[in-house]
Amino acid sequence: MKIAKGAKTWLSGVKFLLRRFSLLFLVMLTFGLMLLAKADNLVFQFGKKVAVEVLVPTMYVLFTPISGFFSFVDEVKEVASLREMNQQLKEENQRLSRIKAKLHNLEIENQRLTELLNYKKPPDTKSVAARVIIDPAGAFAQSLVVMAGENDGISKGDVVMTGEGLVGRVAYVTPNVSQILLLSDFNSRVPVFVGDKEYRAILAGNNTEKLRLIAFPDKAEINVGDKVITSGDGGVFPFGLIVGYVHSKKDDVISVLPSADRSRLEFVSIINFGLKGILEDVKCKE
Amino acid sequence: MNADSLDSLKKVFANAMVLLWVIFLVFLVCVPWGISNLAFVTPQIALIAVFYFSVYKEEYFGLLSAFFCGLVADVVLVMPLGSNALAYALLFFLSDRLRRFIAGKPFYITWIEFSILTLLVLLFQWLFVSLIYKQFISLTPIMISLALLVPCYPLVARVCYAISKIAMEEEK
Repeated sequence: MKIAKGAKTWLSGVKFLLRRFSLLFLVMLTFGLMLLAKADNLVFQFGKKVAVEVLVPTMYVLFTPISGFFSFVDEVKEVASLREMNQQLKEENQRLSRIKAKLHNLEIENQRLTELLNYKKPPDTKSVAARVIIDPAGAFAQSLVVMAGENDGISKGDVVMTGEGLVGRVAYVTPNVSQILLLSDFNSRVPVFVGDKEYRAILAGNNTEKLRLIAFPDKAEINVGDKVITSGDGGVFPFGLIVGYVHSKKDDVISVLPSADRSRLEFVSIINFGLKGILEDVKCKE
Repeated sequence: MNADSLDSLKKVFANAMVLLWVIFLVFLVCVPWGISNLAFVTPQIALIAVFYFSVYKEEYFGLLSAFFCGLVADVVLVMPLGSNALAYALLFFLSDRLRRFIAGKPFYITWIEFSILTLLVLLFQWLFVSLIYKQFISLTPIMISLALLVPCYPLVARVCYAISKIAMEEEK
């Protein structure tokens, strides 16, 4: 009887302490979780994978009707401008036909030169199209989540693009879900070439629409409208992917507008260029 | 089933309903709306629910629930683990402690108090994330997101009131 009473008192003491120092306890718990994440603890990683695998598809199912409604509105708008679009597409088709003929000649020329130089081709690329299901749009982080993962052949570090240009890279992948770190994220750094003279620079995200150009040569003549493409340095992104255009230049602050419109990212291509780069050693933000 | 366990079951159901509502609000932020200028500064409307329930319906939504919802937000928003969890818990803690200055006051006073507390919490979160990244991140998107969040308060608080009413009836 005495033991039971003692245990009861002890339990209420613990309860009191927990209630009194609840916030402190949660702060400690947070730091514990962060340490586990940093240490790449296996159990923790498994727990995170399970959480992502459960939460993301749940969200997808829950919000499909809402996304469907917005797609429907977009489709209605498209139908309204069908005639105009048809004319534009005809012109585009003619332009593409000319480019196709040119490409065919270039391909033949390239093949001959390749044979001549005994050039070793880079490995073939593998591409997966995926639908964007989460666009968190936070002020603290810029990322996307797509409903395709390891089971579809996606791996960490794969390049994410749209027809308009580079979007980002895969930062975290589970069997059915991938998280993409966008170019606009604060942690994103992409080695690029700027303009026709191909000045080397680094494109840095700052959680806003426009990206910052840093580490460019002092005497670089960079102008508004200059094209920005990946340089391939570091081996994370291949050479020549379109990133965007120089949008403004004030003293030494140069901002770049990405080619891929963030608000229209419904589908993306996730491409494995066979590059591992620095990602094998450096962990992505998780 | 006796009356006590039935009551506990009803209480659990009421708590779960409130919890699911807050998680729903966390999810709502993540839907790709396709609105071009919103893509960088979507407000975290779940903070309104955390504030509301901590002040008016603490019996349905505790500090741990707020922390849990924050963890869910961290996972789906792909943010450093714990940053939202701590922010949600801090907002709950502050509004719980300041309840006597908030509850029972005219609506516009509560609204202003919510704005001030959220500003403090977002500044804390900004500092926390900056410490993790080891450099200060831009404050502008955070301030814009707050400016978008504050006008949402009346509507979301109204729905929270309706949810808590349903929860109370379920419990009865």
